[in-house]
Amino acid sequence: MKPFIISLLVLITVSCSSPGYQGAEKATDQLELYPDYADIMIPCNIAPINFDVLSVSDRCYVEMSGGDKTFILRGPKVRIPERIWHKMLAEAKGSRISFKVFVKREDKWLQYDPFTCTVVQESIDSYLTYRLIEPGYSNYGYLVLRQRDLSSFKERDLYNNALVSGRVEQQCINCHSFQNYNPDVFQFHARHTDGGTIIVTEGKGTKIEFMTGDMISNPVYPSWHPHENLIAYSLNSTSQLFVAKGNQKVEVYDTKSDLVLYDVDTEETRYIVRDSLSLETFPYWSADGKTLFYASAYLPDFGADLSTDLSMITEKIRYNIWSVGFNPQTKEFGTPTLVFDAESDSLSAVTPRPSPDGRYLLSGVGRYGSFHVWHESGDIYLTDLETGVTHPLNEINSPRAESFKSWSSNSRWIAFTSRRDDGSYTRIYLAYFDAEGNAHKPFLLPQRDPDQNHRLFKSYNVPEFTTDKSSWTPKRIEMIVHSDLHHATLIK
Amino acid sequence: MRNINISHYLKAHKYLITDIVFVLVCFFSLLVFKGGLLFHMEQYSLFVWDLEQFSVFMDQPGGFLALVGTFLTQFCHFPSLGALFIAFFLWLLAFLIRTAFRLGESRWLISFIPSIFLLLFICRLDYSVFILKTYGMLFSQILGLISAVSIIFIYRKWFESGNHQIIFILSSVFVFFPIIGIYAMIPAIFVALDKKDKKVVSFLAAVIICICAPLLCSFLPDIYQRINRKYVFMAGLPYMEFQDNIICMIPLFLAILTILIIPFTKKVSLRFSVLSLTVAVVLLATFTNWDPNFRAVLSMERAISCNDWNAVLSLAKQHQEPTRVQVLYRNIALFQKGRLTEDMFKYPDGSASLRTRAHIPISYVCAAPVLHYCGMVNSCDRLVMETSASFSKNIYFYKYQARNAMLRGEYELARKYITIVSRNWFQGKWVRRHLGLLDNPDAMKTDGEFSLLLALMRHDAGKYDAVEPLESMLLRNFSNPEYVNEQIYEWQMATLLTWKDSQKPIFCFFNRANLFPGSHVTNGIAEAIALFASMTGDTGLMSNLVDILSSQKFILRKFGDFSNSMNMTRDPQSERAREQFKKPYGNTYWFYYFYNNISALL
Repeated sequence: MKPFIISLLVLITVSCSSPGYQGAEKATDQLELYPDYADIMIPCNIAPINFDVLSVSDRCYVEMSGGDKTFILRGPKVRIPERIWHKMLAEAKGSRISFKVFVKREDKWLQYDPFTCTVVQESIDSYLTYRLIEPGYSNYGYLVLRQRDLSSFKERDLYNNALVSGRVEQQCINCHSFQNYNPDVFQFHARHTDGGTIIVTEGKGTKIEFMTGDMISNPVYPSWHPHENLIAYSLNSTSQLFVAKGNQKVEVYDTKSDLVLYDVDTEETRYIVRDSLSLETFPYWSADGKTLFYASAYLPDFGADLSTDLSMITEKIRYNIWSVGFNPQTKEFGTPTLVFDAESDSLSAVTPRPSPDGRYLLSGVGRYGSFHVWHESGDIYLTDLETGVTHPLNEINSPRAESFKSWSSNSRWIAFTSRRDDGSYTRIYLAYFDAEGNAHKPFLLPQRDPDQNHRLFKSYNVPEFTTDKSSWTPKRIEMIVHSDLHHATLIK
Repeated sequence: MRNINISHYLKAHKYLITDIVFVLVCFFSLLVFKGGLLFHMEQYSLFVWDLEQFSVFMDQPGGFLALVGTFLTQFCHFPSLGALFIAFFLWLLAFLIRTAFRLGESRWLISFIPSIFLLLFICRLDYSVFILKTYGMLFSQILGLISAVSIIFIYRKWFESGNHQIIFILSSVFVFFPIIGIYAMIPAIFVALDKKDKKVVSFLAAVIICICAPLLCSFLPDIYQRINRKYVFMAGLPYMEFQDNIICMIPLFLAILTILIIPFTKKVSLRFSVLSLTVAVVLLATFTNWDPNFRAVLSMERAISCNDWNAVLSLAKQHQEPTRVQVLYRNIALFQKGRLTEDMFKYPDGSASLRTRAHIPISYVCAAPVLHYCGMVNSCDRLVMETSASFSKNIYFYKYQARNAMLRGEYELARKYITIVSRNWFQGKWVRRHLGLLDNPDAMKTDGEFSLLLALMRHDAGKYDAVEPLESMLLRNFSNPEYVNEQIYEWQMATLLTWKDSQKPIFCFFNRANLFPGSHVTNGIAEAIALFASMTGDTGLMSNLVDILSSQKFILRKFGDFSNSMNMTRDPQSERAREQFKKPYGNTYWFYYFYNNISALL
């Protein structure tokens, strides 16, 4: 008994003793972290920014300090307990959390220069919804729309195609969109098995079939009006070209596209813009609902007309960003106005995203074309809607493709997808955007185990903020998917 | 005396001897006849031990079977080990049946019948193994039945004497349905029918419970978020594979049915048991997939994985009526040996169709290695990505994606793929080699294998929009007749000659001859150009050819003999003429040109 008690006491003593890195020498090499969370601005309600210390070490500790609190965390896989983290965020709101990394190498403790994270006052919306999909071309398998609680690591399916297909039949799900950050008002398209557009308003869901008359396609890219039951859609006749050599493996282009407005209450569709010589796409409403932004490419500008085989000139097609006024009472549109003349800079701008405060506009810009997720030149540009000046957001762009982006409801955070990690699988990055119009260093969406980003063989697609999690469950949505189709009426 | 002792020994140990014989027969049958299949199933599998993967498996009732099955499939990397495991589990099933159902001397042979049907299920597999969506199928169904019989064993051992059958049925179905799927119903049915009195009541209760458990799983909102109600009663079975091909599941159903019938066979004689077992064995022998081309394809695939090009060529020689898959694999191997256009027409050629119930394009079978080894890495990537998205991700595809990424200079992406491969057992050698190249990418330029591929990648086939048959893709890629380098020239000519294009090869040939006067001309090319040049009737061309082939005049003489013979034959396209020409000219391009049907290329 006595030897046992002594052993236990020794064990307790050793466990409680200091890790032993006091007086550590300064490390001469550069600290390697994954993800790179050094010197970032984080919201006051974000999940713990767990990271891995990649610098070689036999042992590793990290001192995390914020306010007057310090916690010691064991590395190299630094996993911050959620309760401690949120306490730390509360302590450090408006100031910084610093991380001091200590490593033991060849019996010597070394300390790296500390890095900090600034905890900004502005919070980020609670949830982010995205699709997970292979970066494939036309085939697909298991697809899921998933909601992530940004203050923790919890994820839940909003809907997945296994409920309907069981991986036996095929059902594609895409283009999820929420009305004004409301998690219970949304839509997405289901294609093939039990296909239709699923539109969910407060407590009710319907499945709509739009294709009628001479519409060139079912609706594709959606945008809910912020406060009316109206959805602007593009109609796109889309083709793909496969690239035999090089890192860009596929070229996606439209041969025709138009814009329509769908009235959810009356189930009526009408054209917004329909010019056979123009390719209009990617509609998006301003926060006040009085302006519709969209991208448009005018075929004659690059020597094309209705008979041109656009597959031969994909690298010449360039889009500009336009806006058109809208009267919510009369539901009439005004005259289109050019917002960003990307073509004059030999660029192509698509996917306009106006900020909720109405001051700025984000666009996806590349050297040509409309599907920049496949272009390494794909970057994010910012237009100041007051001054009309557009410039690339160099703080958040990378040499690889940046694509889908979304503003938080307070216009202070941007979520966007990027292929910067490996050139193929998109990951979600978050970046702070301050009131002066400056973007700050983006950071990878925190994961419980950051290595998950390496193990996941799917891309994150179309991140959309919502203020809360949806009350809809996959099985409840499944009921709508199995329900009868309603047919929308096209009004000429 | 000695004979009596042996006979006595055999009688005393008949169960043990039968078990050993059963295991050995299963083991050797699988190893000899299905070794290639076992290796293939391992390569077309993926086991990653982490929480996320675990939750993906457990998100379906019966997913645990697939999880364990996938783990065990790793051992099939060594077919002998895989065969041993399968044989062991088949024996274990028989042993448990014997024990749980207390089969006496007259019935103990019946215990092998479900195992034989499960063996048949494996041995029947055909080209559908290239489009599997389910993991772990080699083991999961055997484990399902083992689990079901184990539950029966537990019941017989500890719960039989009491009067709580309904509770046992209820708890076993609700506990085990999530783990082993529909196999949890077997003990429920057995327990209900085993009850001495109120059999009808207990049977009805069992049926209701068996129906309720899956329905609850599919309707309750917060559990099983990815379950399709239509298939919930097939949970644990590989229903995704055989939706249009239910006949392939018959051996499984027979195995399950046999177990359900066993309790009703208390009065059968030994003779009946022997007869039943014999019938099962005959069914196994009759319905096993003996297709020699299928075996060859799997063996070649394995040889390519090991870079054993000689083995590929040896297999190519053995089959006189190969499928296009075998022909393409042969061509890859010949190219690696530097003898593509030299020897390709000396091997058997053919277009035998894939013997399979489902329609499976050959691109699903062999696109990855064919496109990769032709340097069409983007096309390889596309098809691999499409196939793995539609069916399942696996080590085989990740290996090609890793190599494609390395060749394109996408090193972070390559490392991602190599890392996932490394997490599966027995991939160390492959992983070490490729990580070594990744750490020193310049070494690829001097590496025998990668340098060839890099040379092929200098060719740019531009953009294309169609989804085409595989050999059409090769033709489109290599149809540009411009000379780039020797490697591309070899594939250009091989592809054009395969398609019997009589114009472009002439251009390619003379272009190269002008660029590199005196360079070696392979026999296959010389034969083809002799034929095509004569078809033009251009004497100047023929004269040039004679000059170029001054050291290979025997080919021109032989062609002269061939032409004369053809001219003198009354009906050169007849089967008789074909046989007549086969012996002297069967290993020439001329025989291929006149007597091979290329419609299957489309």
